[in-house]
Amino acid sequence: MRRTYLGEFEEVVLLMVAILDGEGYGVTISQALEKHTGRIVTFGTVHNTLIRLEEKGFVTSELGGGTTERGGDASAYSG
Amino acid sequence: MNSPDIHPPHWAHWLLTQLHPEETLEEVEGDLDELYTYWYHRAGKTQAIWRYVLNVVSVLPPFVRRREQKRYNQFPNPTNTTMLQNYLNIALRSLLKNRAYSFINIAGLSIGLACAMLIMLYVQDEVSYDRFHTNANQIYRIYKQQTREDGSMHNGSYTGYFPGPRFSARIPEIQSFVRFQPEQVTIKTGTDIQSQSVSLVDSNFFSILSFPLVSGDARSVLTQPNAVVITEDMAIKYFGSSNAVGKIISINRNNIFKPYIVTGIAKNCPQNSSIKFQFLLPLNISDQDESNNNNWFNSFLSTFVVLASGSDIKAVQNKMNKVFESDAGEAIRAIKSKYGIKKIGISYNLEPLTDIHLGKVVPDEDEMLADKSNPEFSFILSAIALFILLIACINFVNLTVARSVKRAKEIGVRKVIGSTRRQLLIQFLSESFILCFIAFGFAFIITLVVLPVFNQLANKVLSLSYLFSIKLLTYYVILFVLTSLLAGFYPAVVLSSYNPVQTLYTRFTLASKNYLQKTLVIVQFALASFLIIGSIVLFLQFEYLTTQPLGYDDSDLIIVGNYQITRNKATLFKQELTKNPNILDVAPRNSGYNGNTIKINGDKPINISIETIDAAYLPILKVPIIAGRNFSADYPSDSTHSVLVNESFVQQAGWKQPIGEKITSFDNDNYTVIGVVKNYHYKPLTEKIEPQVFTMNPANRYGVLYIKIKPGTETESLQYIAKTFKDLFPLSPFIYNFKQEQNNQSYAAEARWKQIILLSAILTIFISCIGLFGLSVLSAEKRTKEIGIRKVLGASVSSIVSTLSTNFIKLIFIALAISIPFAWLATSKWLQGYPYRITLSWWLFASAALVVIAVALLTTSFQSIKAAMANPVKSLRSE
Repeated sequence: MRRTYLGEFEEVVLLMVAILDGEGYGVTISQALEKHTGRIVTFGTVHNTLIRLEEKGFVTSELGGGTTERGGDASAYSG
Repeated sequence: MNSPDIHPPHWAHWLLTQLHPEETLEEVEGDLDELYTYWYHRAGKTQAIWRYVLNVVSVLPPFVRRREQKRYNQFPNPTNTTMLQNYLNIALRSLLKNRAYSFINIAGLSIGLACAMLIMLYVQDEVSYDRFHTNANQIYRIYKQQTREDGSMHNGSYTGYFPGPRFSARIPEIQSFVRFQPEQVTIKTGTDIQSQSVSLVDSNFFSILSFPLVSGDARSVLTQPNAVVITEDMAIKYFGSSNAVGKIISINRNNIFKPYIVTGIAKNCPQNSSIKFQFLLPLNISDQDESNNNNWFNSFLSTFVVLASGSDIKAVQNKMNKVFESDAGEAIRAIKSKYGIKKIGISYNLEPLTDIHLGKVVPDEDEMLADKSNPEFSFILSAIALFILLIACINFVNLTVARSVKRAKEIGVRKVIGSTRRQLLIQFLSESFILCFIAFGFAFIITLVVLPVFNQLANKVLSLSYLFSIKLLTYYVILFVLTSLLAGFYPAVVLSSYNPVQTLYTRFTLASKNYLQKTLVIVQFALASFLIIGSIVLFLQFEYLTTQPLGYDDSDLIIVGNYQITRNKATLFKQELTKNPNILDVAPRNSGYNGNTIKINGDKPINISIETIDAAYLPILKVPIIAGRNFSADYPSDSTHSVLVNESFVQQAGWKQPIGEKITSFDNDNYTVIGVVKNYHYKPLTEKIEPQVFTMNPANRYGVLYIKIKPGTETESLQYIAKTFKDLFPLSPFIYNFKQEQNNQSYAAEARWKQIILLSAILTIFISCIGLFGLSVLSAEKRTKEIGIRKVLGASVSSIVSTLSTNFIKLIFIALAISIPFAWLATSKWLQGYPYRITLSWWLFASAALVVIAVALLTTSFQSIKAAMANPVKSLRSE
């Protein structure tokens, strides 16, 4: 199997997923990122990184239910 | 849910739903909504919107990463599409692998296609003239056919007041008519006086012709005698806004300024309209004119009629002439007896409105209608575009066939595995389609970029919006398919016919003599050299036209136009002007050219051009008088009884002793010839010097003033002239021109053609040469081993270069031998249209040949030298 590398930003995002402990999804991860590192990144970056991490097998996702606050369903990521 | 008032912008949300990958759409949509709400509360609406948009963009392709699809229930594709995919793959790979050839093909084809696209635009525009009127196929223009005494026929577009109303009253097929009379008026805005061209029309103008009105009612805008309809541009020019209905404008007609009320604003005339107007005034005809039957013979306007659909044109024309003979009968008899002529020789005919733009029946007279054009332009341009496209296709055919050796193995393997010939045909055709598609894309871009330049060259106002008409797009698709087939069909046939056993055998060579490739190269270069010769001839003829002495001095000559200048005023103006030392002399002349017929030796008619001048005119132009004398104040009878004639006149009259001869006008006035003027080009060199008669007859009007100034004093003199003019003619606009500039402008058409032909010659030679370059590269590659052996055996670089190049140069010579006779024929035929022209000499063709050979040699030798310089060890080592 090919070796998998983890980029710096990927690592940070992975950390956030771990911190949020199963509660992490797009919004909460970007907010946590902003809160802990002060970095403001576009949603697309977070989204792409999450998908890449998923491809690499670091996180898995499952579809959560819609909440009262939002329209669409959220994909929760866990490490 | 969100609180009802917090919603991200709809369009951004819509964009997201349209473009974001389906797999993750739902969650991303939700996440962004939530973030929007969050930003909204934290940073306010503007910030939130801004961020939302930015983040939407960040999750659109190509930025977004797709979640890998989970493949459930996946069936393999049917074999067909897999194979097609493979063709596509191979095609793209071979394009990328052979970059140079792909470049040559794509560059050539895209240039060729771009030319074809532009010309299609041009032709489309030409044939679309006047077709926008809803009943265009029922509208006809009445024109007058005049049979002269000598039997020659002349068609004139001018008609008078009568044909419209009188024909339509008596001929049931003619449903309605509208008359269109151009006129020049002056308009006063404040203290400023400007010259403005207007058109006098019947009040039903807008109901017959489909010119849209922005405001005003089509039926009634022109019913009031003081109504005026102006175009949007004019409204902005005179009133500063297109909302000018009800405003008053002061227009001078018949020497009185009268107020006119703007009753309607028309859209600017479409550019593909022969009828163009800026101001429309109602055409009012006095009762006196209405009852004067002699008005049958005054022609100064255009008459359009609407025929009932399905009318027989011939029958209507016959009826028109019957009406003319009965209605104008008395006037005709009066004229016959007055001038002693037997036949009046006038008949009225109809020409369809849609034929006016390109038609050859009725010539354009004084540009009464706009943009009259010659269908030959379309033909020549189409031919050129076809040439260029053909040359590009030839490149493709030649290079693909020549390169096929390299792909012979692939074809062999495919055949062995089980490809049928049909499949291979499809494969190679699809390659040419792909290449053409890429070229087509580039061609589109080139067209867009080049369009403004092309507009200037072709004197057109083509716009990009034309590109999106369904008709034109269909043509483009047809063009695309045809080009792909033209370029790809032959190579596909050849390649698919290879025998697999032969191709897989290592020492396979294409043993044929390759006659086709040679023929195609010959065709290419024959076309290219044809265009090069054409452009050289055009260039020289143009040089000739602009540098040939005119027979008079047009330097430092200012022409000032004024239609209302009397003899006294002219004298006064001259006195005032010559007070300034910068102004050397002033002479009046009639405006434009007045044609007429006079009689000599009793009753021999001669068609002449009459110049109404005074004694100062010929000296100002430095035109010598070769016999007799100029007009002179010492002979008071000069103005009424004397004329000067030019050499052409004397020649046509056949006089030995012109001085003292008599000429007779059709009013039976006699004039004595007192002098002969040396021929000079009073018209551009594109026209012959016709017999001229110079008179000072006080009954004729002056229209322009020629002012000779000291060289280098243009600014001061013009200021002084303008001031004096304003003082003397306060009601006339000051319009001036430098004679020299005017003369140069008369060759604008030639100048444009010069550029078009030159450009196309450069393009053809360029495309031909890149093709030749490709071929020479291939042939050098094929012969690497041969070159290596030759070098080892002691051949010099120059001898190798010459062996490699001679093959091609031979072809170029054959091409020249074919094209030169054709070029000679075509150019000499073209030159015959010019009364004053260059002679075609051998060196002209020789220099063209030299250019072609030099360019071809340069292209081929570049590659041959590279091959000849290569180290033979490299080419011979590996076997």
